[in-house]
Amino acid sequence: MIDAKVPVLDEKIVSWILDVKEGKCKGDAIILGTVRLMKEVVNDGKWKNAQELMSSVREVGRAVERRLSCTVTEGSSSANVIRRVLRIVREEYLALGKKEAVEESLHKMLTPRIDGTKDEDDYGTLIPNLGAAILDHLNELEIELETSSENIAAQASEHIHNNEVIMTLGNSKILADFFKGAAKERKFEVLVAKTEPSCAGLELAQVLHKAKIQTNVVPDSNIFSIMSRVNKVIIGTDTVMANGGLRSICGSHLMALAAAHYSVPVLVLAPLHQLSPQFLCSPNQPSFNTFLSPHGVLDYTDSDLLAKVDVYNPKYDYVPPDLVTLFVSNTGGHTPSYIYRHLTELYHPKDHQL
Amino acid sequence: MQKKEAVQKDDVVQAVVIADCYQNTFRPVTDLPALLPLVNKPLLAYTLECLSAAKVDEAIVFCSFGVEEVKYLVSCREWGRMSVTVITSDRCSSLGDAMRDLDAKAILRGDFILVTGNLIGNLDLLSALERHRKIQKTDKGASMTLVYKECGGKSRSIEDEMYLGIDGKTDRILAFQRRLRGSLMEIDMEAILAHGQVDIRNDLFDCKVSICSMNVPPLFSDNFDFQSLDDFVHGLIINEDIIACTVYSYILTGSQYAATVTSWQNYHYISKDVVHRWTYPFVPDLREDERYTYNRNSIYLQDVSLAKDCRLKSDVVIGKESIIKEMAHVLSSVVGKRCTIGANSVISNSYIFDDVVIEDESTIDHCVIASGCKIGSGSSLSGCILGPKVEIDIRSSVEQSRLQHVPKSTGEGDPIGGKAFEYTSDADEGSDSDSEDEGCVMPGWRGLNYEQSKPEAEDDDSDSLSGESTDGAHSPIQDDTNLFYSEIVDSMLRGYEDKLPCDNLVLEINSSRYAYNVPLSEVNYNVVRAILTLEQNFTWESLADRLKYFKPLFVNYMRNKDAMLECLNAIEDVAAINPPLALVTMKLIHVLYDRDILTEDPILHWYRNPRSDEAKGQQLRESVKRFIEWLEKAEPSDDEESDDESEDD
Repeated sequence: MIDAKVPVLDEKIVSWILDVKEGKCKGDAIILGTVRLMKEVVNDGKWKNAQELMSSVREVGRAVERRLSCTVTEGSSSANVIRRVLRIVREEYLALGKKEAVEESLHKMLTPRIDGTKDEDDYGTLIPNLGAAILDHLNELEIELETSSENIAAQASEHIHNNEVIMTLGNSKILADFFKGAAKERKFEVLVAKTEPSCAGLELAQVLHKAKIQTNVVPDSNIFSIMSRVNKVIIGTDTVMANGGLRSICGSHLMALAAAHYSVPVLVLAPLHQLSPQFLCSPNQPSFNTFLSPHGVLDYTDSDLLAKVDVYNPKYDYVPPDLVTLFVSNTGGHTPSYIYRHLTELYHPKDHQL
Repeated sequence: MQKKEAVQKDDVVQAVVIADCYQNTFRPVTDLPALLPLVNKPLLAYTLECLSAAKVDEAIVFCSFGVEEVKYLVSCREWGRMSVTVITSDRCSSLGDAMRDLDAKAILRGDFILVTGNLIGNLDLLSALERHRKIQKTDKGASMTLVYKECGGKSRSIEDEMYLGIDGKTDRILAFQRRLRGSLMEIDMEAILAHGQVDIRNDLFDCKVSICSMNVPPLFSDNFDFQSLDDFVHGLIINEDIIACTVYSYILTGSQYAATVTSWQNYHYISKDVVHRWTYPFVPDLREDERYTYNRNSIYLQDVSLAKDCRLKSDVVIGKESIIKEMAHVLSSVVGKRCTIGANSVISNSYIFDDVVIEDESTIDHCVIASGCKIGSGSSLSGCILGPKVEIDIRSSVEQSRLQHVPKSTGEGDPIGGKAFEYTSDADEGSDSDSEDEGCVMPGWRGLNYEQSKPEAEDDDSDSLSGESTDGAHSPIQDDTNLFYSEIVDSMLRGYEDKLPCDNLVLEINSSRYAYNVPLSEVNYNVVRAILTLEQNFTWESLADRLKYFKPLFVNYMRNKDAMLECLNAIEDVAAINPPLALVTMKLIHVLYDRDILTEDPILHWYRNPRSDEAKGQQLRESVKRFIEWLEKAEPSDDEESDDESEDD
């Protein structure tokens, strides 16, 4: 049954969500689609001031996140994009309203204002050109998101050198682009872990093979034994948590631990929109992971076993930040300890919860 | 422009959802199983979600009653891009009727997907449809593709048992049988010979999803005896020459899952599959409207108030606003919304729907408790199915029964108290007759507990077996042999009474033998058996008379050692069930020996090699011991004597 609280969404939004659900819209297209949706929300002119705009952005954002998180593809990055849109609205409002942007600092938070005015602006003032300014800014954001993958791939030759052996796992476009970018100038070997049970590694290996990069697939069980020969581990991720930890494909933790044992550096390709303000508080945090069908771990034909065992087939691993050496984002390389800085730059603290 | 439209219309993927199950399996809980909640969500919602996720464009829900409820359910959810129409027809009492009605209404535009409203699955229907269309290009008669899932070996409930003969190359179904007759599966020899490779499989699970061609509804209209899908498949296989239509199978691969709830046992196992996430993404924690949180040991919760020391073991689902009190144990169970589980209660392997109150210290095992029930404190229920609004008194104990909140007829006794009356269904008879139509044996009512009901079912089997075969010692006689036997008994009785010449009888028996294709050894066996049991009141005089009359038959059939052995076996078997004959067995064998019908070699062979260690066989051999000793004594001089005899002859 539909809650009364859930707003009736625009037809366009509903049909876009269905596209994502049916898999017509994938990967980066989801992120770009979110920005375009937001542009439409700004464009439709049903808002009078920044406050109203923000609440409708939030509303759409919540609905999109809620629905996308029920689908097979993840909607977490699109929530991050919505947070950035909110930040943009705030910034433009303050810039046009000639108000000083309130930088959060420990000093300010602890010392009471002398003039006794309210600390917060309610974003209620009417500003004439706000819409146009926000749209401009959103266009910039769109371009940034569009090019983030290219920007990361362009840095490839700084990280991969000749005759290196690189280990990776999973499959993502950004990973393939990165290796292809490096292959333009360097000659190196890639070992792809098979990444059971999804076997995503096989797909990546095929892509790399077509790009004429020397590629070998290794079984997951051999990650540790081969690690001693490896110069670098380069992986993608689904989300970067607020503490610099990763929520990435199952098997990443194993690989990161093996790398730590042999002191092999671990590089994580993470465009900024993957940065989430959320933390992992407990290993059983329910919303953190997604558990898939047991298929792949246990066969349905093992009917005698089915009733007797509990099977877990998690989609993600949590990789603690101390196992990550470097994040390669579209703005350059950062250590995990620098992530908090990005967080304050990209998102307003009030938007962490949509 | 018009042409383009027509082409687009062809591409519309239609699905027909039959929301009735035309059986009373789920009474008294519900008449309409499509609305039965499974893991706190109606089955029909799963079905429509599955179709919508499989990119079906148009779903036609077909139901004959409970229309308002079905319409409400359809209207208050979103089904993506799929349009859902509800069609009603109150005259339908079977799937066949529904298909005939659809044929008359002519709303189907092409190949369509046929499912029931009890389907749960995440299967990719479009690829199954594509496969069906591909087959149609090579085989114009392809009318149906049935979807199966490999479940590995033994089926988990009796309803799911199934045996298939599939052409290894084309996946065409050549033989289809729900349950074995005895231990045999019937397959047309010609079908096997015509196809190079035939796989006989019983490791498949019938998802009850079928991809149908346009000609399926008309076929139902043409054949009024097709009631169920099984009838249809069976009819098509048997009458292949007449109808010229074929059925194919499609086996789900990878993580695809589909199952249809047809009984409580099924319900139990499919619930488990949902809880164990085989239906991903249709699992409780990914529901848009009511999200559960998924915790370790497959525990799904949604705004539940849990007492500090209550214990939830594995495979538990608890719905919104339910209260679990102190020291309550819940394991392998589903609890609905707004339920209360009292302190110190133990709930195991049970399904509790919405708004149920279970008071303190109750024990509930393998039960289904429909919404609005109230269980008094200290009660213990096991293997029960409770209809809606049943109230059970404190400290009562009920086992293996179905209860409803109003008496079936006034004046009927009330053994349970509170608002609980035994549900005795005239429906039982109804379902029996239904199942006869289907050609499968449906042993009465069974609850959730498969383990308990399994022995029952096996008893049924053995009963039916012993009913079929009158002599337990011999391997179960097949139908044809039985028919043959009754026919020769008829002709022999007639011949004996009218004193017809025995040679005519030989002709009659031989023609019956060819009519039923009975092997010679069984002919010999049955002829002797018939002669011995021809008259109800057994006396030696009448038997002697019969032996005299039927001597030509003996002479005709007892031609070699094997035949004589069969004759002795027949005597042994009849003696085992007919004590008076057992007393005169020695005399009988002696007479037969004297008349040169039996020779001593087979007699000795029979005596020394009993077929089994049965006591009766031993007894019989004991009783003829004297005769055998006499025979053995005579044996040394056997060679000369036999020479003499032959010379004498």
